[in-house]
Amino acid sequence: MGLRMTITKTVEAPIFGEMMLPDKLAGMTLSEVKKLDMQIGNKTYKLDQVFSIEESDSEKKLVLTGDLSHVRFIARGMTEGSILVDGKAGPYLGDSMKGGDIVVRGDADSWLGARMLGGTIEVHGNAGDFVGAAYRGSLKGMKRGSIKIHGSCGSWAGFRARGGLIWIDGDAGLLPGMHMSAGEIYIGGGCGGMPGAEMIGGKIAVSGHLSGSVLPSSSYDKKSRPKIGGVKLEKEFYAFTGDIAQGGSGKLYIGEEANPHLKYLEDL
Amino acid sequence: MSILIKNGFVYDPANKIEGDQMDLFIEGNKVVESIDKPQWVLDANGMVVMPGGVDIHAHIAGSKVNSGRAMRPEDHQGHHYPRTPFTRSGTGRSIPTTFVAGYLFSQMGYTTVIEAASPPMKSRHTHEELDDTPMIDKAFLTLLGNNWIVTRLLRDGKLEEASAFIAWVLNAVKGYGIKIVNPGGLIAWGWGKNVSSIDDRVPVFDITPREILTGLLMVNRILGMPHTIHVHTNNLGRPGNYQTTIDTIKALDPYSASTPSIHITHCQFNSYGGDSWATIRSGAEEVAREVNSREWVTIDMGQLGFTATTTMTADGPFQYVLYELTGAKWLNADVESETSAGIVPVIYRKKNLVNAVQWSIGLELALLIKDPWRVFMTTDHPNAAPLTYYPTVLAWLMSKEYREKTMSGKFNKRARKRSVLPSIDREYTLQEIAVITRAATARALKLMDKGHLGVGADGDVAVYDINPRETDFSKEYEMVRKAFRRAKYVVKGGDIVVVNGEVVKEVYGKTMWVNSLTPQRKEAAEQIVASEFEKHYSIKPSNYVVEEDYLKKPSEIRTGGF
Repeated sequence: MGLRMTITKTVEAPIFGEMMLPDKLAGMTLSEVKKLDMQIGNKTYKLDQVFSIEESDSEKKLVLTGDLSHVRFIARGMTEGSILVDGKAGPYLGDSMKGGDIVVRGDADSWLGARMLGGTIEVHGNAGDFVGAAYRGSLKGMKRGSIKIHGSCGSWAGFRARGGLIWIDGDAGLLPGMHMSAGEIYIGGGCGGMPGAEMIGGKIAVSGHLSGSVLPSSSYDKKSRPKIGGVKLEKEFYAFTGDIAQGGSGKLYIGEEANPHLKYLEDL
Repeated sequence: MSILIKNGFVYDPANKIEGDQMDLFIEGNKVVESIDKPQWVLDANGMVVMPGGVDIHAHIAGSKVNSGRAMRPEDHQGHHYPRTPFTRSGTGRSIPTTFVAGYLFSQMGYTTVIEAASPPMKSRHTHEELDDTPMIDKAFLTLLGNNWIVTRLLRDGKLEEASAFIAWVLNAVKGYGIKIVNPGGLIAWGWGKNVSSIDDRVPVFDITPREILTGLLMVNRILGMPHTIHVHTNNLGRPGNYQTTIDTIKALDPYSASTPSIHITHCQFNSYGGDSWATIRSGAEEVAREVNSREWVTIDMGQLGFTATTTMTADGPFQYVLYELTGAKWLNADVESETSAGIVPVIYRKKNLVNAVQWSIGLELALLIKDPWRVFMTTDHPNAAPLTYYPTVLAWLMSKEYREKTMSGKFNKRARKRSVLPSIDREYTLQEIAVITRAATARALKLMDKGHLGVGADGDVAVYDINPRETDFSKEYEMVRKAFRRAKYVVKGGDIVVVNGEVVKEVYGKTMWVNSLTPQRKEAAEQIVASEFEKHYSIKPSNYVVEEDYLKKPSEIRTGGF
């Protein structure tokens, strides 16, 4: 038995969805849920003024439908349960979540799974910048858990990640794995450039075309077939160690096939 | 507004009232003998009534506090204070915005806070932020221990000229007292150096910290300042520095008097024994012994809390050491001819040997110094812990059981062996708590109308919801924390500002400043300014002066022969 919430209010101001936690809502009756406070911009509303809420027989504990692109902090700090977002999700989805799983049928915004400590997130569409990243100024990015994006994502994926897995089927923007210390990132498509800048540990694999070259502070080792997220990749990759400017020992892999401009490495 | 606070257990150490059940009347903004028909009656039956808290050392306003806010967005996250019908919104935990800082202090029953360090040149900024800080009366101490002009005058033995110039500076920037941070060391930091003892010579200036300290002590006396010199000693935050603290105290022995002469601030940070980070131990016993034997020395604790916080101090070289130790982000700044500053975020952990020893030292100092009138409760907000830790510190002081609980579990085992805290049984009484948080601090600052509830005192009162006759403070420390975190009622300047721990009215307190610039001193100072100022500063003296009109509610205190 779960809940289905359909957004009925269209506003431009940010909506704070921190109370949308299956583990918190599980212990409440439907009428209690409807009376929860919800902040929109600088005003406070009741939850049923923003969403139409009904009980559902979906196996997911919480189903959110409609355009939730203004709703931020959905499932913040979630510990268990499951959420299906049948549409677009706003920023900070699954922020510092510890467990449970989230599926998004549409796109997710920036800061997806930021500072995540466990659990899984799957996005069928695209994601914004800062996937699994540390909050501004903080040193603590994603630590455990996994994020799978079937589409593409923006820049700074895995910024300051300390563990966990980010799997992107599509393209990534600039600076994936910036300053990461552990964890794994797989990018099935291309990458905007500078992967693994300042990384001190962990693994990044870019299968598609890399714009520009690898940073000079990543030193080339040899060709290899890495294992990411427990999956052995059946392709040849150029393997680098970096970021040596930070004394790092992270591993960066760039696909051989899509990057003929890196062929000169083989002659070094 | 006339208010009757009825039937509370009143703790007013300055008037020797300890837990007597009595009524208290406030008319206008003063405590009065009695009122026939009070407009408001606050029922304090079964509750504790104390004067409003007076914090002698906290960093709440000024350029470095603001830089800290800008530098640490992560400190704001999850700490949002939405607007209410009575209060403005804000953010922040260890470095809250000005409004939030005012509300948080007020919720704990504090009504007066002294900003601990502002470079004279940045005073306009400090005043702007203090004017934006609601709920409290405030003042700031002015950094003068490393001022180039002052240092040169002291080196040449020109005490009268130095006094005149300092009187001019305090008048110009509307400061309250003389703050000395790492005397000489910050001048040396301008050349990438530091001083390591009070007899080291400062490069270029050819003066020793000892001469700066004694010189400024004499200046403080000549000007008749209400507060003593407020000293952050050399070698702060380094193992073995308890010796420097003792040397600093002993340096003033020849000038000792029966009245307080020196305040050593956040003494926890300068009472470390051992000779390296690995062998660090508590030096609190040695420091406490020296303080106990001299009635003219006061200290404040600078108690550490196990939490993430932001350190900010004018002690630039120390912040560099801290940055090298932690690898965290670091801000270093230089204020021309006056001081340096640094900011580094830190996380204090129980299992860390150094942090655990630091924690023990603060409490040891408070518990080993016998006279509570000479040791004040501070956390050097936000350096050792944010202001929200004050109630926890009070609970530690009042309960050995709570201290033992903190010292169990993850607490570093070696740290326990290196401090004397486990062997101390003393527990503070509520009266002593009232002394270290309000009565003694008000006396040290010579705020005659604050820190007590006698007739004529300011109408600053805090009522805490805890029954002293039914509560065993040593066992029910959680109740102590709860009660002191959110006061039942707070009256500030005759207004009821907090009810049930929530701010119900926003008021703005006054900014106190000390004027000792007599016409003779003015004449002498203007000669010095005319010949020296433009040599050292990139701005004109006229831009340096903060006009009194610039302040929202200035309150001038005249002294020093005025």
